[in-house]
Amino acid sequence: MLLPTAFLAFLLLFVLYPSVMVLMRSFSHKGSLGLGNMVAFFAKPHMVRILWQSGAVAAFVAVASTLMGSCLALVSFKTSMAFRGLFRTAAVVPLVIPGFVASLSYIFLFGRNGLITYKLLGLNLSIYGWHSVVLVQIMNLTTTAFLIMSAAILSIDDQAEDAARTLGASEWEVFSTVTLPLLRPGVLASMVLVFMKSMADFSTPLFLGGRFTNLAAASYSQLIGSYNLEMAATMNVLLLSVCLVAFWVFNRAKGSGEGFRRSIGGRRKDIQFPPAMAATMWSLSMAFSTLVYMLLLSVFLAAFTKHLGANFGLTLAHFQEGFQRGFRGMVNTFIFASATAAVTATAGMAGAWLITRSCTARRLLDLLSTAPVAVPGTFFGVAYILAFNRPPLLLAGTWTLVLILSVVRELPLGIRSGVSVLEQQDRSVEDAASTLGDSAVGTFFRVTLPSVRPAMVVTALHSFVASVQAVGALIFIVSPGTKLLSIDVFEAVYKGQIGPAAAMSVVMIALSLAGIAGITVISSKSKGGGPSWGESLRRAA
Amino acid sequence: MIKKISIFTLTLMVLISSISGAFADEGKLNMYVAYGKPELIASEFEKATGIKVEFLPMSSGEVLTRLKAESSNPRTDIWLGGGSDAFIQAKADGLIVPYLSPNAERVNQAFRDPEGYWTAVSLVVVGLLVNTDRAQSRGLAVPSKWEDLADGAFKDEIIASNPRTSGTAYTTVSGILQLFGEKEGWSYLDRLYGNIPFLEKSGSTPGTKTVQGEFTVGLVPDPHSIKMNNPDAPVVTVFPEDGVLAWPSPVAIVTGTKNMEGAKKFVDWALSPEGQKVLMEATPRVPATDIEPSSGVPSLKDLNLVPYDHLKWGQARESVLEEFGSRYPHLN
Repeated sequence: MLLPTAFLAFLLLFVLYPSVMVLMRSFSHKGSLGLGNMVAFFAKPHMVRILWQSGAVAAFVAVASTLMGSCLALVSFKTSMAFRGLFRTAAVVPLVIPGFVASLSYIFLFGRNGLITYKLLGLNLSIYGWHSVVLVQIMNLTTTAFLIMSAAILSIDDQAEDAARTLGASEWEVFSTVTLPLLRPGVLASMVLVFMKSMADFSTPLFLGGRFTNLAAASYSQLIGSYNLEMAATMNVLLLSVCLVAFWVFNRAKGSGEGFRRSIGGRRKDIQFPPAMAATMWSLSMAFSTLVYMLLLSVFLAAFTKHLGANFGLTLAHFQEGFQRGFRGMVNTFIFASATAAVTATAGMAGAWLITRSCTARRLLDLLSTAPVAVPGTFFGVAYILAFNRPPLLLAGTWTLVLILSVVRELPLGIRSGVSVLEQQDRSVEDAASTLGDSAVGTFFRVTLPSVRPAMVVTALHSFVASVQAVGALIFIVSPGTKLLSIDVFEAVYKGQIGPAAAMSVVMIALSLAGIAGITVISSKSKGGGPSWGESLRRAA
Repeated sequence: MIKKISIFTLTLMVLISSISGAFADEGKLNMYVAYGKPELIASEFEKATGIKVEFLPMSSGEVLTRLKAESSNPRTDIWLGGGSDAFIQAKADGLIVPYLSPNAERVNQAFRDPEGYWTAVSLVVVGLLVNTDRAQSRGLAVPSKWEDLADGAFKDEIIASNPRTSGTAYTTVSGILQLFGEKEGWSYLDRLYGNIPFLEKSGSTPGTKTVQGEFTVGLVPDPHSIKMNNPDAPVVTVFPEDGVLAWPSPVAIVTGTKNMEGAKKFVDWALSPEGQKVLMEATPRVPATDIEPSSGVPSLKDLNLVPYDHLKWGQARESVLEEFGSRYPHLN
C-alpha cells in the first residue's frame, strides 16, 4: 500500500500538476477564459491538416520502427547469422548521435549536395519533405523498439519453445505460435511508445520537413517563433489527446491477449527461420546498419575535418574551440546522467511491478507514467517552470528538479520495458517468497528486481544517454551558471558552428559509451556476485 | 486512499523543498544571453566592475518564453541579445523595466526604445550568404543586389526562413516593402519567393544549409559571422548594394530583478567603449555605437542601410503576415 501510494503521489505532483498548468494556459484566450484557442485552431484548415499528418506519420513510423526493431532484436538474439554483433551495435548507435547532428549528417550524405546522392550518383533530389522525416524518425526510433524487443526476447524461456519442438512443431510453428505470442506485450509497448515519441519529435520536421510540419514542430514555432504560449499550449493539449487515444487503443489490444507465462530460468536457443524470411531479415538489418554507420562516420568526419564536404583537411581546431568553456560541463553531465540512470532504472521497475501486480489505481499509474513521452521536450520545460517556480513548490533552478524532470521523461521506457518483461512472467516465485514470509518490498528487491535485469539495464542505458543529450526541457529550469555539455552544444548549433558542434557531439558519444560500458560492467558484476534464484528464495525465507 | 495520497504528497513536498536551495544572491548578476561567447563577456565585466555574472545561453524566443512562464517569480536580472521584436513584445507584456543609461545617447535613436526599455548593443544585419562552389557548378553569378535574386535562374536555389517565426525573415519582407514601396515591394517579393522552394522555421537554418551547399543563396542574419564560424567553407557574404536591412540586438533589465544596481552597471558597461569592444570580440557584429569594427565586420558607414521604421512595421506585423500568407499559401 505504501509503495503504490508514494508512486502515485509522485506522478500526480510531477506529471499531472504541470500538465494542468499547461491545460489552464490553453484555455486563456486574449485575456478571457474559454475555448477560444481551440476554436482558432480548428478554424484554420492547414492546422487541421497538420493534426492528421502528424498522426499518419507517427502511426507509420510506429509500425515500421517496431518491425525494424523486432527484426534486429531477433537476428541479434535468436539466430547465429553473420554480422549479428554489428547489427546489435548499429541498433543502439542512433541513440548516441544527438538529433541535430544526425540531421546534419543525413543532409551531408543524401541532401541536394549530398556525398552519395549528388556527388556519387549525380541525382538532384529534393529531400526536404515528409519522406525524410519518416526515414530519419524510423532510424532514430528503431532504437527504442529494439531495446524493448530485446528485453522481451531475452526474458523468454526456451523451455516453452523446446516443448513445442518436442511435440513435433516445425521451427516456423515454434516461432509463430510460441515465441511471437510471448513477444506480443513487447510489440504493443514498442508501438505505443514509438507513436508517442514520433508525435513529440519536433527537431526532425524543423530541419528536414521542408513544407511538411507536425503538431510538435508547429507548437515549437508558435512558442519560440511567434511567442504565442497559449496557442502552443493548445496544440500540446491536442497532441496529448491524440496520444491518449493511442494509449487507450493499446490497452484494449493488450487486454485481450493471454500470453504464455514464463517459469523460472531464461536460457536462450536459436530459432531456424525459413530461408526466405531469414534472408529478408538479414538484408533489412544490413541496410539499417549500413545507414547508421555511415551517419556515425560522417559525424566523425565533420568533427575532424576542416569543412565537411568542401575541405577534408584534418584538424583538431573544432575540439579546441569546443573546449574553450572547460571541462566542468563534462563532469557535471556525467554525474547528472549517472544519477538519472540509477533513479530511472529502479523507479521504472518499481512502477512496472506496481502496474502488473497491484490492482488499485494501476490504470492511472500506467497512464500518468507514460504520458510524458507525448510532450515535446521544450513544452515539458515550460510546464515545469509554470508549476514549480511559485510557492509552495519553489523548485526551479535546483538540481532536484532537474533530476526529477529527467527521470519523469525517461520513466515511460523503463516502465514499458519492465511491464513487457513482467507480463510474461509467472507470479509463482514472488508468491513463494511472500508465502515464506518476506515483505512486499523485500520480495521486490530480492526476487522481482533480479528477474527484470534486462529491462533494468536497458532503462539505465537509455536514460543515461538521453540525459547526456537533454537540453530542450532543461534550458527552462536550470539556473544561470549551470554548466552542462548539452548547453554548450546548443550554443554552437545556435551560432551555426558546424565543426565545433560535431566535435562536442563526438565528446558526447564518448561520454555515452563510457556510461554504457560502466552500466554493462556493473550489471554483469551483480549477475556473478548477486544472489541466484535459489539463494534469493532462501534468503527471502 | 485519497487522504493517504494527500499526506504523501505533502511529505514529498516538504522533503524535496528541504534538500534543495534557492537561487544564490550575494550581489551576483544572472543573465539570459542570446549572444556569442558569454563566458568572455562575463569575465571581462567582472574584471571591470568586480561583479560576478552567471549566464545561461538561450535563443531569444526561449528567453521570452521563460520570462513569461516564470513572471510570478523572476529568476534573472539581465537579458542580453536577440531580436528587437522579442524585446518589443517583452515590453508590451511587462517583462522588462525601463532604464535610460547615460551611455545610451551614444546609440542612434532608431536603435533604442524611446522610453529606455531596451537599448541596442549591436546591429544584426540581414545579408546574403552565397555558396561559391554551388554557384559555380550551377553557372550562377554571385548576386550583388536584391533584383538579382528575382531572376528565374535562381529558381529553387534560394533558402529563407518563415517571417511568422523568424525576425530575419520578417525584417526582410517588411524592409523590402519600405525600400521599394508597398506595391512595387509585393511584386518584387512575388518573384523572390517564387525562387524559394520552402521556408525554414528557424532563422539560423538557412545559413547552415547554405554552408552545407544545399542552396546557392541563403537570406541570413549576420552572414559575415557565419563565414567566420566556418572559415573553410566555400561561402562569401554579400550586402545588397541597393539597400541593407538591419535590426537592433538589445540589452534590457528584467522586471523583478533582485539586483537593480548591478543590472544598471551592466547596461552602462555594455554601452561604454570598453564594453562595446568586448562585445565586438564576443560576436563580430556591426556596432551600435561609433567604435571601430574588428576585421571582417562591415562598418556602419560602408553599408547602404535602409532607414527601417521599427515602430511602424512592428505594428503592421499582423497585416503584413496575413498578406504574405494569402500570396504564398504553399509556403505554409
